[in-house]
Amino acid sequence: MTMVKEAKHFANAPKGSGSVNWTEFFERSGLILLLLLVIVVFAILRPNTFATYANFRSIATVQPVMAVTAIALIVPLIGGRFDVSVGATLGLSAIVTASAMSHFQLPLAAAIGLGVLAGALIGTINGTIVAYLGVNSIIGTLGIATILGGVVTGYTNGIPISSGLSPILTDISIQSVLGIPVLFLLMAVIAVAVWFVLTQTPYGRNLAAVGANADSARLAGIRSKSVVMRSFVIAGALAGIAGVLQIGAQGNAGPQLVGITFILPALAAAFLGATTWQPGRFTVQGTIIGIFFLGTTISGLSLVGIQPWITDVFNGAAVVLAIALSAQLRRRRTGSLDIGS
Amino acid sequence: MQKMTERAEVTSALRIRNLSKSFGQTQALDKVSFEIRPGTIHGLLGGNGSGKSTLIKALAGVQPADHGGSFEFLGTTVSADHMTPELSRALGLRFVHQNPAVFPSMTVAENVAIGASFPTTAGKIRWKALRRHTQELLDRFEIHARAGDMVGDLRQAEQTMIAIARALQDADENAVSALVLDEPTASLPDHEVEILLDAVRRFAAAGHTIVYVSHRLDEVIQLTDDVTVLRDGRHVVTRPSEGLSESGLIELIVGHSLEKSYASAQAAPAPLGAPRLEVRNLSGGPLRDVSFDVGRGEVLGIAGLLGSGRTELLRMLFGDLDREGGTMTLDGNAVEFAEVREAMGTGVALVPEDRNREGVFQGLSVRQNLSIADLGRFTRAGRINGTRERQEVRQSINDYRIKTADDAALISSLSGGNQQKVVMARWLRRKPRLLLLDEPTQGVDVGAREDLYAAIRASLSDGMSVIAVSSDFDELAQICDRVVVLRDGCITAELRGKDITRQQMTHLVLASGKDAA
Repeated sequence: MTMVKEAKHFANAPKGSGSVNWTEFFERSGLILLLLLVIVVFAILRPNTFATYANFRSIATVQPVMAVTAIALIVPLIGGRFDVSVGATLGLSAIVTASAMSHFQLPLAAAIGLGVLAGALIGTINGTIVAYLGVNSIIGTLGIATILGGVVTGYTNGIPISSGLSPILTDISIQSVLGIPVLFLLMAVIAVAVWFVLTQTPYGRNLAAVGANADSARLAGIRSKSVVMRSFVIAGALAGIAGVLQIGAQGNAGPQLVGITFILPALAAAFLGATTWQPGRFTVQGTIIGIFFLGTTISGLSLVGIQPWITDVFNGAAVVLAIALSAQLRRRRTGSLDIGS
Repeated sequence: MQKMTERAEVTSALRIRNLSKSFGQTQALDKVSFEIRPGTIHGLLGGNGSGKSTLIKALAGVQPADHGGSFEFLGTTVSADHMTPELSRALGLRFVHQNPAVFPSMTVAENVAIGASFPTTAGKIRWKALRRHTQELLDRFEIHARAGDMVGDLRQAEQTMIAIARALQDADENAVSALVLDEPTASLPDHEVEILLDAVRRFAAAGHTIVYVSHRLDEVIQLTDDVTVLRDGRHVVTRPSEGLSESGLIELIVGHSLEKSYASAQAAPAPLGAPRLEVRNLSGGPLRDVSFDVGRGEVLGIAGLLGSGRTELLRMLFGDLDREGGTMTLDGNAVEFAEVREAMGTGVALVPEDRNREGVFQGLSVRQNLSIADLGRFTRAGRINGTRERQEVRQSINDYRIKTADDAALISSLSGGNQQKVVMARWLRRKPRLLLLDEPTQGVDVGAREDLYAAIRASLSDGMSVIAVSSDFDELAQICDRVVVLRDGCITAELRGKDITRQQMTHLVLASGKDAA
C-alpha cells in the first residue's frame, strides 16, 4: 500500500522531458508573450509613432533606471523583506552625486563613489533596523524613506541641481554603442552582476533559504540576521547606482523623485517577474521583463492618447494583480496561503 | 443496540462500548469498553501506542472510530462512527490539552469570552458584564487572578486553570458530561503541579466529571478515584485507584512484571576505546546535572516523555540553546558552542523534530535543500560550481534512495518520508562525527523508514556516533546500542543489550522512583 502511494507521488512530480506541458510553458513565458502581444497591438494601432526605432530607443533609455531600482527591490524580497525606501535612496544618491560635483567640485568618479556609498549607508541603516531591531520591514523602510524625503527637500529647497555636472554623465542618455543606448548596456552589466550574486554564490543561496524558512535556515547554520542585513546593504548600493544613472537619464538631479509612487512600477515589475521564468521566485530576468512590459504598455497607451491619470491606475492595478498572482503561485509551491502581512 | 440495565443509566456519566479503530492493518483500538462514574476523577493510562490518544480523538469527534462502537453520555447514545466535534461539544464533552490555547497578550476576561461569546448590546461589548462574569468564574474555581490581568503574566498552572474554567463556563454541572484533561501537567514546572492538582480537585468537588490523562503515575494515584488502563489498543482494567501502587500500575501498563533495573549510569565504560562525546553535569532549561558518554560508532537512545527535556538536550548539544552549566568534550577536546555554525564546524549535525517547521525549505528545490549545509564544498573563489553540486546531489539522491523526478524538482512535490530522507542526507553528506536525531521517523511510512535506518547504519560503520530521541520505543529498541532514560530533566536509568525493550523503557519513563524497592 505504501509502495503504491509512493509510486503515485513519484508519477505526479513534474517531469523535465517527454510530452510538452503547455500549462507550464505558458506559466513560464506568459509575461514574455504578453509583452510581445502589447508590442504587436500598439504597432498596429500606431504604426508611425510606436513602431519606430526612436520610440524603442526612448523606452530603452528611460526604463534602465527603473529596472535597476526593481533589481534593488528583489534582493531583500528574496529574503522575505520589503525595502520601500529604494526610491528615496535613489533620490538622495542623485542629490549627493550632483552636489559633490556642483557644490564641491569633486571629480566625477569621486562623486559617483559618494553617491553609491550614501546608498549603501542607507541600506545599512535599513538592515540594522529590520534585522537587529526586529522592525517590520515595510514600516521601517517607509519611515527611513520619509526622513530622506524631508532631508533632500531641506537641502535642495526643492530646486533641482543642474549646473556644474560632468557632461560625461549628463550626456549618457544620448550615447549609444551599435545603436544600443549606453544606459541599457549599463543596466545589463548590473543585472548580470546581481544575477551572479543571487544564483551563483553561497550568499544568494543562503538568502533564498532564509526567505523560504528562517527556522530551518538557523538550524542549517545560516546566520539569518547577517544575511538579511546584507540584502538591505546591497539594495541600498543598487539604489545608489540607480540614482547616479538617473542624473544621466534626466540631465539633472531633482528632489521630486523620492516619493513612494515612484517605485510602484518597480514593485509591480518585481512581482510580475516572480510570475514568470521560474514562477514563484524573484529573478533578475523576470524583473527586467516586467519593467519592459510595464514601460512599453505605458508608452503605447500615451501614444494612443490616453489621459495621464490612467498611468497611475495602471501601475497601481499592476502591482496589486502581480502580488495576488504570485501569492497564488506560492500557495501551489508550499501548499499554504498566509494572510498577507 | 442492546438494552442497557437500569443501574448503568444512573451510575455512568460516560459509557464507552465496543470502541474500535483501525489504520490499515494496525488496530489502534480493539473493542474497548468501560464506563466513567459521574462526579469522579477518572485516570486514563497507557504507554505510547496503547490507543489512548486515538480514544481521545474519537471522543472529541476529530477522528471518528470504526462502525460498531458507541458512546453514551448521560443517557444519550451516539454511534462512534457518527461522532463530530460539534456533536461532542453539544453532548457536554470538553477538552483541555497540555498546551492550552490561551492568548497571552489578552486579558483573562477576553480569554474567557473567546471561548464562548462576548456579551454585547447593539454590537458593543458590555465590558462590565464580561468582567463581572469572569470574576464570578475565577471566584467559583478559586483561581487567583483578576479579570483584567494579562494572561501571559500569570503562572503556567493558572493559565491552564483559566483554559479549564473557560471550557466549563457555559454549563452547569448537569450539562457537562465530562472534562478531558490531556497531560495538563506535562510541561508545568514541578512547583506548579500541585496548584493545578488542587484546582482539578475543586472542579470535581463542584460536580464535574473529569477524565485525567497523565504519565505521572504518582500524580494519578493520589488524584483519581478510578483508573482505566489501555495496552496495545485493548482495555486492560477499570478499577478504583485506592490500593494501587505505582509498581502495580506500571505492571498493568507494561503487561507483565519486570524486575526493577535502575542500572546506574556508571556501569561499564563505553565499548570502543575513548568516548566520542562526554557530557558532564549539563544544566539549563528543564535539564539538571545530566552526564553521559557516547562511544564511537555507538547509537545512544534517549527515552523520555514529552516535557522530560529530551529535545532541549539535543538543542544544547547543537549550540541552538544556551546551557547554564556543565561541560562537553568531543573526542577529547572541550567544546563550547555559541551558535549552530560552531557545532557544525566540529562535526555535529541535528535532524530536527518538526520537519516542516525546522527541516525543509518548502519552495526551494531538492538540490537546494540537499546542499544548503555544505555549500562551501562546491564553492571556488566565491562561486558555486553548479556542475559539481548537481553531480554530488544526484549521487545523494541515489545513495539515500530519494524518490524525486529530478534534483530540480520542488521539495514540496515529495512525500513526507522522502522529504525526511532529504533532510537526513543533507547532514549525512557532511560526514558528521556526532549525529543528533529528534524523532527521525515521525510521520514517515514503513518503506522510507527502512531507507532512513539503512542510511544511518552505513554512516555508523564509518565511525559516526548517534544520539537518538524518539517517542516510539520500538524504534529505540531497534536502532540503539544503549538507552538512557530522561525523566524531569534527569537521567534516571540506563539500558543495554537485550534489556532495551519497549516494556522496560515504558516502565522506566513512568516510574518516579519514589516507591522503588
